[in-house]
Amino acid sequence: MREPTYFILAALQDEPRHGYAILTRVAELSQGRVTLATGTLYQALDRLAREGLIEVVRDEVVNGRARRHYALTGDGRAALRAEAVRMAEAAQVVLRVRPA
Amino acid sequence: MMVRLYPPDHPRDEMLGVLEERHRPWHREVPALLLGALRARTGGGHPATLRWLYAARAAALMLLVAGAVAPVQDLRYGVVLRSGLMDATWVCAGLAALAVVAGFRLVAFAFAASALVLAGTDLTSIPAIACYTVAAVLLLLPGPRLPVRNPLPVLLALAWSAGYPLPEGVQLALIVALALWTVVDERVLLAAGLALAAGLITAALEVAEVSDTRGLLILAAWHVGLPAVLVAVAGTLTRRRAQV
Repeated sequence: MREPTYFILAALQDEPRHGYAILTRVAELSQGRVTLATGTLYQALDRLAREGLIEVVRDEVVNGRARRHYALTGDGRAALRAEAVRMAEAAQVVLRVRPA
Repeated sequence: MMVRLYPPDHPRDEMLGVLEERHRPWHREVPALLLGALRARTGGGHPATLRWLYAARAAALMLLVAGAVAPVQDLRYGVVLRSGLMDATWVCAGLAALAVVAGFRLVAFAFAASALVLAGTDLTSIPAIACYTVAAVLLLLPGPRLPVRNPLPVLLALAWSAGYPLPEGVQLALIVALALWTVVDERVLLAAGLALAAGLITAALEVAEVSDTRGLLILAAWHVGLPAVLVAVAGTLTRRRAQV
């Protein structure tokens, strides 16, 4: 899984969010390291929705503009968790405290 | 304005809202918007299997065009026809190409196979027969309807089969266009690699006529090395772009 995808899914793990909220949450979670362009975000959202990892759960109109809220699906949550476990295990290889 | 390049079924209004909220410099948004719009319009979000299938159909289109042009080259060099079926061959190849453009695979296969049979009975053009053979094989690959509406494969096939009479500038422009288009959509590069692999059939016949090592190396580089490199590069891009 690519790093931006990981952070997009992570941004949705607590609650559904709209596009701009996903971008700000991704920047927050990655401590400013991942700042997605708007075009990149929507390419990723399109692909993730097609793969069944996220879904649109609500439509609304704010300031005259349509806005959709995206949420993780069961598969999305499982994929995010599997990636987190994989990275944690990989990190353990380096970070585990070695006996003296 | 960039957002209008996206297909109407995309959340264009929502994207405009995000762009307005972010107030990011335009130069940091434009490249991704342009790339995203072009990919959305060309089926850039398809999974890897569909991308390979599209490339196979585009390669078949290239071969049908190249197969139709190859006999013209032969006739220029004085090849004599055995019967008067060449017009029928061209009609079949043309109909097969149109069917590929429209996405009717089995119809395209039927006409490509007809072109192959007619080319075998009438023409002496080995490149045409090789092209129709591989096109027919590629069209046998099952899969959903995938119309090939990109003009680049046809232009590349024309340039490839027309060969030397074409000005160098035109050939160079097409190579540059292919390289630039690969940034958006690698499937045409993949198709070019698959189509060039049809040359293996002609190479198998040419190899008997080549006696020196240098000639064999050139033959191998052109008919094996180049297609292999193109398929390897485009295949890697396909795998990366299909990754979530």
